[in-house]
Amino acid sequence: MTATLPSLDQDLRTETAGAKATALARLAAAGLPVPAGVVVPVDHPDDLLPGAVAEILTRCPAPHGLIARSSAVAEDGHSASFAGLFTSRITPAAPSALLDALRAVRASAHHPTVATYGRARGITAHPAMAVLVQAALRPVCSGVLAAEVAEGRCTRWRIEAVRGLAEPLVSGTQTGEIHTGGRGQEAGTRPAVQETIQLPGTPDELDMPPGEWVDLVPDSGTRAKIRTSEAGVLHLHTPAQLAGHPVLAAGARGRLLTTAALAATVLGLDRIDVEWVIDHRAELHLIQARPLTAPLTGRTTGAPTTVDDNLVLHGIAAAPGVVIGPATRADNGTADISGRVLLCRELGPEAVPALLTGPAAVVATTGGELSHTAIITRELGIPCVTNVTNALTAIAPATIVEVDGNTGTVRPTTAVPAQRAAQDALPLAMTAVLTRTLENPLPADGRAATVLWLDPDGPTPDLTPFAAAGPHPVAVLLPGDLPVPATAPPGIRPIRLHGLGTLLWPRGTPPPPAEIAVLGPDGQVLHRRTMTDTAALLGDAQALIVDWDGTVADNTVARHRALQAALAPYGIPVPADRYRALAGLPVRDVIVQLAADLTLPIPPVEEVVAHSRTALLAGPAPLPIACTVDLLRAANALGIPVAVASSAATVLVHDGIQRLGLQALLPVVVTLDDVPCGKPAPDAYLEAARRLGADPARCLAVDDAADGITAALAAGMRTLTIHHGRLVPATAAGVPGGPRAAQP
Amino acid sequence: MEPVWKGQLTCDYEHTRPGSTLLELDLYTASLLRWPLIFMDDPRPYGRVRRPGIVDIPEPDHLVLTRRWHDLLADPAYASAMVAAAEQRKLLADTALHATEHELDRGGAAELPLARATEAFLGVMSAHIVNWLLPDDQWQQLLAGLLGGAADGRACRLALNTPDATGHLLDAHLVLLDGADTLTGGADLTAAADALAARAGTLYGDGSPAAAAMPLEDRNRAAALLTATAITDTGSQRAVIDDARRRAVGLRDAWVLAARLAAAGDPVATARVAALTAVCRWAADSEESRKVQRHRYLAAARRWCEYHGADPATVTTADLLTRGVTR
Repeated sequence: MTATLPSLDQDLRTETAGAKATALARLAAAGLPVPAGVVVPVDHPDDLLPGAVAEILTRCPAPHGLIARSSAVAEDGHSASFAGLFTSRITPAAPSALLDALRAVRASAHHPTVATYGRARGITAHPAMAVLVQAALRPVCSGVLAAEVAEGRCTRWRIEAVRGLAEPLVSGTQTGEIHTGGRGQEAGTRPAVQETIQLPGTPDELDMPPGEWVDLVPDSGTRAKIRTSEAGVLHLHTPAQLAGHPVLAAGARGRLLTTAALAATVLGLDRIDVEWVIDHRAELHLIQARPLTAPLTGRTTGAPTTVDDNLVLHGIAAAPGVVIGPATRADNGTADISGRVLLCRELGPEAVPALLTGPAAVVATTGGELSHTAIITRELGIPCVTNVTNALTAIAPATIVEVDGNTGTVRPTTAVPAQRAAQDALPLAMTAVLTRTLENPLPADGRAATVLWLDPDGPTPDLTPFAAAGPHPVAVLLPGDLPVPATAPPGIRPIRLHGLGTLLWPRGTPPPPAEIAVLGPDGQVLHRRTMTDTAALLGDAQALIVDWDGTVADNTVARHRALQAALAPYGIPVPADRYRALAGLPVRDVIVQLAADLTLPIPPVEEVVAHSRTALLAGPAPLPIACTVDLLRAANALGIPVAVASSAATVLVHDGIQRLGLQALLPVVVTLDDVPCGKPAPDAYLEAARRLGADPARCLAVDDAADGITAALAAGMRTLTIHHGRLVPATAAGVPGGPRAAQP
Repeated sequence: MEPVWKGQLTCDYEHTRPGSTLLELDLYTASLLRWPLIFMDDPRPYGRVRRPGIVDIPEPDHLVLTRRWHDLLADPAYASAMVAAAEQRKLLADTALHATEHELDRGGAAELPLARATEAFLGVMSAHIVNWLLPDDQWQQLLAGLLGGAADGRACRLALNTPDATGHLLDAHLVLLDGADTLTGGADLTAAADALAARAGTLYGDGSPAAAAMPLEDRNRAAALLTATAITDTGSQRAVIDDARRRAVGLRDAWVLAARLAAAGDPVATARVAALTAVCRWAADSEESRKVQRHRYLAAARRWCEYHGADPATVTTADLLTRGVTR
């Protein structure tokens, strides 16, 4: 067959072969190690692609398949790299598959993201796309290098390396082994754990099912198990014997730096970005070289004990709690690990004496929620994250780490952990405490009542405490539709609580409190519900419309913290007392007032508001307000549609609904973004009624704040507000609602 | 479980349990195939064995069987019956293991007892699916919705996974403390070491007792550990464990009550909460006791191999079952 397609051993022009192929051809001409390749030019007609496929298959022997790579005219420029925006595809060396790959790469030029990126970089021309096709290399390792080059040497550089193909590194799904250094600076390396290795496979290998073995490197005796395979690529479990071995050895790194510097010289660059491959013969190949468009950051790998935001390790939340402590290894023979974070593979009985000394936390590289490590740490109340596969390599002993056993993360830190137990010490004066057994004597913790849970399957409880005098009333809750037991003493009256059950309440005592709660071993409230008859409150309402902040969600603590975080860079403190005093004002006014209090310059208010919102979204979840959530549930059970009408930002309301798990109860949300005027104008409530298809006069509104109550009443709605944890009617004349919290 | 590949899933115990003997791999694969039978009385096998250690499961079979199980797990009556049956299997295996150990201790061939123990323990081993086949996501969603947030849902679910009985790691340490206390009380070291080796010897050390004895099966090492422990403050260690256990169980029970309160008034949610709380508690207990039984079983099989001159690295469950039948 006559060769009609240009190749990398020719002098190519960017206009037809694209930037990538042209740069590689220049490097090849200079004698640098560039794999052979054939180019389907920019102007190659679509209908002639089958011919191009036949020619490529003839010219490119490819035992491990082919790779079709984008080579756009506009990519790899000095100001815009288009890195990661165009498609590259590994494909079997077969006609139809290669044709699909060529078409996919060419089509990626038309992706909307490409146009958006181009516009942002001032490139308005449509990116013309050539395709470079090469035999897929089977890398031992590969990666990227970014370097500043002067006088033919890399003066500052950063390399990321992974075993096998670099695709997981480039796509960001895998952190590579990081090497950094520069002139007069010692090279540093930060290892990374790589659980899977991607390699282009032979047809035979690609036909092998998961669980079978392939040679990782020919004739090396190192085999790897197949996890899966797809699109011509094997996904292999990294063999255990490679753990602890560097991906990129010092000698290979030196050759890579030398070659990169030469490439920069050939291309006339003082900052270069290179993709590279090292094959099983230890030969280096350059597969891309382009200007480095973003400067190298000042960050080097440094010692692994330094804080690095990139180093958040993820595992499985196994035992709750958030703690900070210095890391220690299970194998260092330390018997007393009090206050430390124990890093281990898993725990055995040998570890128990050390665990009994009170470690801050345990981080294990294996196991799940039901693993033995998880179970013993829960038994001992030690926060734990399991399945942090790279904990032993990524965290050096003595590193200060924060272990979050609630979310399953581990990260180096120097900061004091956020105080997240916002509801730990709430007073119980308005709350009945639910229990399964009665303590004797009854706890004198200020609770309004003790309520005994009548287990439908359990024995009939001893109700004699009804007759006894104690610090508070004792009652019985029959959940659901359980009948009142015939043995109930005469001195009680049954109170039906719709959607909850029946309360057997002792006569001659004050009425039941508004709320019932379950306490944990430390007296912390685990869950609370209202005991008022919520269905009766709904009456004949056609729809229920609720405010968000202060009505469904208690965000007070989170908002205060978010504003503190947002104002901290400007040196403006937000004392809790002062914040409470300013709570009725819009947040912008609060910011101005806080600055004025200290005669400080007013910070950029919109930036502070935006920062505060971001901090709020990243902060702890709001607390649900029991009486309203119960009303939502009752409405849901009765088929009454519900909406939110809020003056808060849409994103915050949706985030809060998600985090409280209320999506099913609150499908319709109206915020200030949806209406011309905020509260006290009735717009939000009217719009919510319109979306629910309800007559405002037949809607029930709930709002905790004066402006919201005014808005709901102006919309003609029957209105409730929250008073001491209960839902009570609100009127224009006597509004028990307080001022609205500042809305970021 | 590996991702779906050409319409099938693969359970690769060679990867998840490296260094296992054939018998260990066989225990996992043979019991995996039988979990629908064990838990649902459904004779359809869960996949097919490619070789001991690797099971391929057609994705449609996986979906049908797991969906059916997950539906059943929402029913408290099923959950209660399933837990009761599993407890029976555990007792049966325990009895068979005792008989085997007793026979081996007295120098017998133990073929029939070991065959019975193998059959019984395979039923127990089917419960290892709780590590990845329980409907954790559904439960998390349910609890988050009831309790008012994902964080509370997760905290509740974690607490529910606290075993009733003391977990095997703490229990092994309590056995050690008991032994050390008897020494302090003047007991004979040899007898105490024998007792420790018999009760907890297979649990100390890395790996399993399938191919080689665990360190504390050696009575001399058990004696050394007892002697070293006897000079520590065993009372305060015991107090820490007791206090922590009481607290963990208290927290679990409080979360159970919280979930019940949250579900009260909603019969469907109440039923699901009742079912999942029972299953979670059992799953945690089951994982702890299964580990102890597995190590006892593997140690017994190894001793059986030593007696019969068989290779513990290559013996299979079929070998042990067949030898029992032919006797």
